[in-house]
Amino acid sequence: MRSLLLLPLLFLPLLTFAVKGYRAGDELHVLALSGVRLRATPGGDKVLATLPYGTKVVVAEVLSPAQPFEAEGRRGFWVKVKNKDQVGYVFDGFLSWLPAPDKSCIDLASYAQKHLKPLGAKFVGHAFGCYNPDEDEIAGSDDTRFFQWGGATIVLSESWYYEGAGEGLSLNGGAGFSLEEGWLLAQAIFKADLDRCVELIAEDPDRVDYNDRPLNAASYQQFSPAKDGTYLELDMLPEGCSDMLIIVFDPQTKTVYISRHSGC
Amino acid sequence: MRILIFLLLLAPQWAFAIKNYSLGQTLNVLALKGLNLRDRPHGDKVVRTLPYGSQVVVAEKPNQDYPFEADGIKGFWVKVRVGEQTTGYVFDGFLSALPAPDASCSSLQDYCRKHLRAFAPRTVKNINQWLEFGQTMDWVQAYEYQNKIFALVENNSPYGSFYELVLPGASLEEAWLIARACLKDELESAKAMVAARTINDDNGLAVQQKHYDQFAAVVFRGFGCVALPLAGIDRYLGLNEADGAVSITVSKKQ
Repeated sequence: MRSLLLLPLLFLPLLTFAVKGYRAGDELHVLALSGVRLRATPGGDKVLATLPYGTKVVVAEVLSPAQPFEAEGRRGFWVKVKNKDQVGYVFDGFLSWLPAPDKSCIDLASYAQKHLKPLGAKFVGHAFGCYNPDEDEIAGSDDTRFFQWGGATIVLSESWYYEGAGEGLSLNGGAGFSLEEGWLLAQAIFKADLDRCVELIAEDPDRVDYNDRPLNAASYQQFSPAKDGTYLELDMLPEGCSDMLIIVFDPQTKTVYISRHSGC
Repeated sequence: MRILIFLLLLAPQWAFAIKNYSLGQTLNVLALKGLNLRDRPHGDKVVRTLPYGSQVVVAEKPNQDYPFEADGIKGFWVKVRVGEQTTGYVFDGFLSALPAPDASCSSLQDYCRKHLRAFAPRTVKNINQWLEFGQTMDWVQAYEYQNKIFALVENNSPYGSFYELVLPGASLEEAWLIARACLKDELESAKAMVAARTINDDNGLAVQQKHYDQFAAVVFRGFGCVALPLAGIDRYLGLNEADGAVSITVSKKQ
């Protein structure tokens, strides 16, 4: 009876946390662009080293009882990790199962092609919709490719339609993904774009997003999901066109979908 | 985000036959009434009628010497071998490397399940965030057949639903033949419906009965598509091509 009651309490909050389901021996990647601090104790003041972006760490121990922590609007736990000969504690909110995008990754497609394992033979494109001659337009195309990473299946969609183009990356399976991981990945891949947005918003401080929330530099630097915590939508500040970065989380399947669409 | 615009328009002049087959390749007969094997290209003498679903082996280097057209499909005569002994010529417009849907096929899911090999788990393809309705998802199941990856995409949203099968490397005509065979009953009842009363498509044009028997694609900027109402409220069959693949879509508008 007691365990039945405890289960929901333990598992429900996990849905909104960062990287999930790792165990001792698993390899995780540092996805924070400024790196993470390796500390001598969980939450302690003594910093052993700063592990730079892209570092692989091996989980040495999942702490029990769990030691939750929160930083920059994201929740997570302290975890004991090993990096080469060093052992210490890091906040897991900036770690991910996913490999860190290298500098040459400028979009979701290049990230998938460079870092993930293609599943099966070369995949397919396809069209959707039939054209409307009165509008002089063709509906568009939506290509799909499958990739794998660890136990996860990752679907890349690249689409164009009559008024724009876009791409999406769906992260499924394995231990599941979080909105935070989606944002970490998007921050790394779209770094140049996000930096540009920070500069542009400084010149246009009255700008609001589609939900009428004021946009400021922090919008592009911090993890700030919509109220219910399942999606994050960022106006990428084009001139005269729409350009959106959207990250959506489905709690039931623990899937994260990152998409970038622009159109004029 | 994704807007499906369906339209039926008359452009029967345009068509390609099966794409890219080669000498020695085994192909399937997708003509519902069977395919005549003749003694020579355009020949009068029928050696045999090859039933729907039977197989032929291409017996000459594919060429474009003898063009032909039937049921709105353009193609060429090609020499084929049937079994060990028999050779003759068939019109290639009703041949495909894709498996012929069996007699009990009644949906795209059915076709995939019976004729293709599923691999990888069924997966979320994308999550749609609707202002009014919250989230809906498109799911995708990957299938393999002859080293090509196929995808069956399912969608349900407050605006409707669809199943969409993506066939890499196929022609629009092959997709038409597969849809014809797999959705035979549904297309027949839609045809009967169109015969009984005027059915207008999205653009207010009357749908013609003959388009349930003949291939008639619209071509625009090099891409072809076919859209046909199915029996039932707001159900559509769509065929579309782009980027080296075609898709067959059965959609329902809410």
